Amino acid sequence: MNHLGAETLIGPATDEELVAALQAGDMQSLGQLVVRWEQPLYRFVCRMVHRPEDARDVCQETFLRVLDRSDKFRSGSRFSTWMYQIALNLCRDRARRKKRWGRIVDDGKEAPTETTAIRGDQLGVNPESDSVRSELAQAVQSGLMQLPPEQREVLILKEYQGLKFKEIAEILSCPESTVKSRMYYGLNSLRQTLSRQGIT
Amino acid sequence: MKCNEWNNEWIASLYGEIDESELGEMERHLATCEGCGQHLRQLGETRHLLSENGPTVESGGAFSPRVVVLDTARGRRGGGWRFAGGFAAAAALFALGIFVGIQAFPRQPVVLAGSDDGIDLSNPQSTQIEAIPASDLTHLKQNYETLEQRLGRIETWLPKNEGDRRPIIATENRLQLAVGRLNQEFDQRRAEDLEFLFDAILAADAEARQRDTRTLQVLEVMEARRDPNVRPR
Repeated sequence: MNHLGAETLIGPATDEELVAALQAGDMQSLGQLVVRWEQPLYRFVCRMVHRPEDARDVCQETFLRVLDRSDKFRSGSRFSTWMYQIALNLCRDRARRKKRWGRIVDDGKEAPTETTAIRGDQLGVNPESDSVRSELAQAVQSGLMQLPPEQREVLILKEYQGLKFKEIAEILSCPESTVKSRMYYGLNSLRQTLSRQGIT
Repeated sequence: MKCNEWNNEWIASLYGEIDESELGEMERHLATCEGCGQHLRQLGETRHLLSENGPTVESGGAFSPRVVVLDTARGRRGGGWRFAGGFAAAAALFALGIFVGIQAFPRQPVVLAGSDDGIDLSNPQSTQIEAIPASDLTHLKQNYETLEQRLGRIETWLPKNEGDRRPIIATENRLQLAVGRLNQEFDQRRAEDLEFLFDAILAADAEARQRDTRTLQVLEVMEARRDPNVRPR
């Protein structure tokens, strides 16, 4: 009976147990990790890189690195943190290669001009209007894109991936206070950007 | 704490990750500071906008088939060593096959045609051809010049016109006889010399042909020596 078979009798294996099994040569454990994490990872990467095709490549490369470097995974660490670290570094490398730091959020459109800016009173006319919602989303995404990369990373990891500040700090290898500080300044900058467009 | 020192606590409170003690202290500050309260509300609104209008992500369903590749990716680990091992094994088998083939079917030495005519095939320098002596040609030229001078001197003494009076050193008949003999000698020498020249040319041509033939033979020997299965007789 293999490692996974034994675990299924007890209960679902944790991520860290699956990595341990992978280190022991159990390929099925990698499949379990992929099934478990491919969607969250894809959503995260998709928000970090510009194109969905790039996001798929980064996800693929992330799992390949998990496979190749499983022996470097330290016991006591969280697999998700390690995986996000790998994915984030790959996203940074890709963005650095393409020199597109300003476009790594999945938007790619220029910031709204004065003529296309959303006025606050538009929100009151018909908040549920699809066009207004689309323009609002576009403004938010554009504002997010204009943030410095370190602030944008924190906002995405916190707001969309739902990670704890402590986990983000581990991923970014920085103090938790730094994460909160980046979060604050990123959120404040986004508020000012949206305010200039009359949204907040 | 000053107002600008609450930034991290604002963020922590927005996401519910603030300690009870910090939360109580923050609420006490908010109760006395309207500006911080307004600032916190604005941050909350921005966070709500960010949460509700973030980048949309298409379904990741297309990603799943790509993960199938991972099932075979394990085979790539150490693939370089595995390939090197397979290549070495194939090379060893190939070398073994050649060795067995040579031992079982030894190749007969190549015997070059024309190597029995006394040519030392092991020494290409032995096939050099002797050159035609230049002194023979110089001698021929001198002979012709001498004959031309003698003929010229005789013709100088012959009368060109009727009435010419030249010193007579011989009768006209003797002079004509002398000229005739000289011309005859001249023709004979010329015939002999032409024959000599023709013979020399033919000999040189024959020598050249022979030299070309031997050169080709030497080249064949040199080429054959590169083959390990050819050995000189």
